[in-house]
Amino acid sequence: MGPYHCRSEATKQPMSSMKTIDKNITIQGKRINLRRIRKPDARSIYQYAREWDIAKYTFIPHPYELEDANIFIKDVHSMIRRNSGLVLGIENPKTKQVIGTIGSHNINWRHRRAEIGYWLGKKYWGNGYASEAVMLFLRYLFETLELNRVFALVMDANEKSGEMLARLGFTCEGRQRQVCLQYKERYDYLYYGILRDEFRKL
Amino acid sequence: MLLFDKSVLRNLPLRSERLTLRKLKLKDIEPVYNILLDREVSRNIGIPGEKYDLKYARGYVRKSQIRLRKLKEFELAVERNEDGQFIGAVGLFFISHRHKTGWIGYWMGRRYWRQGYTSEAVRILCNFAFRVLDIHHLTAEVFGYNQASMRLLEKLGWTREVVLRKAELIDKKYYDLVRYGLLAEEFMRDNSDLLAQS
Repeated sequence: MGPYHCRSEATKQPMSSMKTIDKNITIQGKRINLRRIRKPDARSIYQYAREWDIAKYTFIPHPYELEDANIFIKDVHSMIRRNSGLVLGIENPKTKQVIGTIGSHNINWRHRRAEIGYWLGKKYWGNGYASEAVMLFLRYLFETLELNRVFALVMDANEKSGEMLARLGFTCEGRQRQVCLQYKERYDYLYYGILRDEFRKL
Repeated sequence: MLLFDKSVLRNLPLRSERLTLRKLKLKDIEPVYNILLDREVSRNIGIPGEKYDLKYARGYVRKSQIRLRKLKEFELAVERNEDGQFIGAVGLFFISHRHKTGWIGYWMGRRYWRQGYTSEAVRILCNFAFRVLDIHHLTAEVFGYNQASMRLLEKLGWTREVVLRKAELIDKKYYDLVRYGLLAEEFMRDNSDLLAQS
């Protein structure tokens, strides 16, 4: 609608920069893989996402029901169909189970940027799986989708996540104060951004 | 759970010493169009360069009216009290009832710059957002090259919070976006003279 730049119709995306997201994509990593989320994955997503420590710093509803996982998977498929975003399952290659997810809900083709979000089942923390998932996903966004900028918002209390992004080469671009009201507490949002040129130099 | 209901519309129009902030009207279409023709104005708010015509201006006015009625956005005309002249607009949008946050935007005809009108209008809008709508934090996002706007916000007590590097692609070049923020408690503290107005 405009006129403000941030309010302009995102639907008017120039076709030249839009790539078609491959809905059957699989990205192989060393310890984990990224792959399409399917309806049977609802059970394992439910198993890992229902923990309080996962809901604490994300917008995953809590308490979490199996039906929430079903709805989530439907939403992801719809988003991929519309080419507006992509969320992949983080797969444990031994069990083939989805143990977390990583993705972007709103890829902005016009400005070639995307915000990413991710979570990993608590029992898998501390092994570098999230780091690998982020790096694999970044490569896909920068090299296959040819985006120019990727960023993430992290609640200030979620120190581990912010530190991980900084280690991976993201720059902390600032903080929006007290903008996140989560379970009756106010948090700042830290912004972490990385550009394609910077990713290539890593 | 909504922050506010339609009773807040009874607070409009908002008035200051020299200005009135009111809902946009069809008679504003022409001055809107004329002001936004000026590239010096439109480049700062990122409106399309090519497909810009009277129809766009009409669409903008109509959509503002609808969104105001639905309490989705508060895009208001800035009118000068002394002569009723439309000089620009300010807006409050991207309102999150969950987080109690919102964004503001503003633009003014170039011949009305440098007279304190924008600051005055923004201040009145912020007062409305914080005191009437119970917003907790406001964001204003400007282009990295828009020094004048950044100075205006800083003078009004806003804090530079984030620089989104190379976030906006215009004519094959990437530009930074800078986000400024203002908290309700900061505004109340620095603008206690506006307490009477709401």
